[in-house]
Amino acid sequence: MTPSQDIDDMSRRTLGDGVPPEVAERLRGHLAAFEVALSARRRAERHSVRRLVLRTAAIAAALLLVGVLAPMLSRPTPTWANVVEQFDAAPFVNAAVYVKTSPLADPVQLEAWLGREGQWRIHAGGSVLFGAGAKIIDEVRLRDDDRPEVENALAMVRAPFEQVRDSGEISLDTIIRSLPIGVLAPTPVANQQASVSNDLAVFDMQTPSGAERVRVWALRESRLPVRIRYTDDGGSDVVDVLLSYAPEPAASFYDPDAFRQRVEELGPEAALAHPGALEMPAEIPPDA
Amino acid sequence: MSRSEVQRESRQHDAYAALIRPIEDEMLRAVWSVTRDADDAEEALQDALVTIWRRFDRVQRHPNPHALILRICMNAAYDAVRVKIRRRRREAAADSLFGRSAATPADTLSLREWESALLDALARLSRNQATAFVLRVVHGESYEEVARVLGCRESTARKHVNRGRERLKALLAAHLEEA
Repeated sequence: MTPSQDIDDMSRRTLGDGVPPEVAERLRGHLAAFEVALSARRRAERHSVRRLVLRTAAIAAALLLVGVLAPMLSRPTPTWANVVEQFDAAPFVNAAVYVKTSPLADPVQLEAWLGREGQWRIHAGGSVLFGAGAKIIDEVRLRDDDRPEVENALAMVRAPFEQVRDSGEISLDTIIRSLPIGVLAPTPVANQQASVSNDLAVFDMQTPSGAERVRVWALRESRLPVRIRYTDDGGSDVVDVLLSYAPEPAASFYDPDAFRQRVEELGPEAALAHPGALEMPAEIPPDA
Repeated sequence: MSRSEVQRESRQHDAYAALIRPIEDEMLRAVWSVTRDADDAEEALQDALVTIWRRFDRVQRHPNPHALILRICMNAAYDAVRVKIRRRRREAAADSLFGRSAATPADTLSLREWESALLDALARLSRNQATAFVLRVVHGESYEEVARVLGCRESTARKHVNRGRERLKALLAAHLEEA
């Protein structure tokens, strides 16, 4: 037997026997105690994890409440008075008006611009009307357009100015009441059931018979109206007004003489173009 | 059991069932084969369990947690043996100082003496050499398993076993001749 075999054999014989039962029993007692301790530790860890999760969830909920719900709670549905007030305070309103007098008719488009000081300008067909408050100051005819629907539409947009002749002020109320709706309910009612009412404040009004209706959509945050739609029962008359807002233009925008000069210099199409009607952010390049 | 299996088991059920129970017997054998004494084995196992407790997260994340636990057990056993040897030497020095002799010639070749000499010699090896030698020679583990416990390559495990054996031969030469 080589020394290596000797050492292996002696080591195996000396140390290779099993653990004596009485020793194994003592040692297993320690393992059992360790198992109990480890189990308690895991429970404590799980508990602390659960507590951490609950605490995190509570913090998240609080943050949600503060960050998301609170602004919503502080932004209740605007009242009709809020909407009227915001509209009247807007420095420059552009209204694209589409008028249909029958379901098969092509819509007639009109454009109106209103300033904070009561100045206004309306383009319909071949005419551009200039006015201030209830007064029509001038009319510039760019071309002859005697289509009856244009005349009807012009008559329609003249209506509010005729209606406010006494007070001299153009407001959202006077615009709506100038629509061919007859006797309206005194105040539009907030409609919480409309499908977009979570995003937009919706106001409805109708004639007592329910035959004619007006709906106004307003932004919840700024409380500015963005759309007004009039329909009659048969859908023959439809007026859609899309409203947008921009900074106030130069005073010459409401000046009929300045407009005539632009027409002479640039031609009617270029003179009618009004880039200020669409406010573009600076980061959008002009040719994008 | 792979690390991912152990981790899954320890998450889903009980950490003890996943980490300790499958190798309970090996742990007992490890501490016993090195200490050869009930009290020392008990002390070694307790120390090993304390180490496992303190490093529990690291043990769970280890690529081979069972091998790590066995190595912790063997290290604790060697530490217990070394403590015992130092105590014996102090006692032997005291005996010598006071003219007492611990062993008689008749005891020299007794199994108990050989066992003690072997344990002393094992305690003088490096931990890796001693662990490799005990696992391979005494427990009959494969070199692959030895390498897993030591966390090294199989060729390195072979070197540890061989160097441990050579060192033991040198340390126990006198006893081997007598035997």
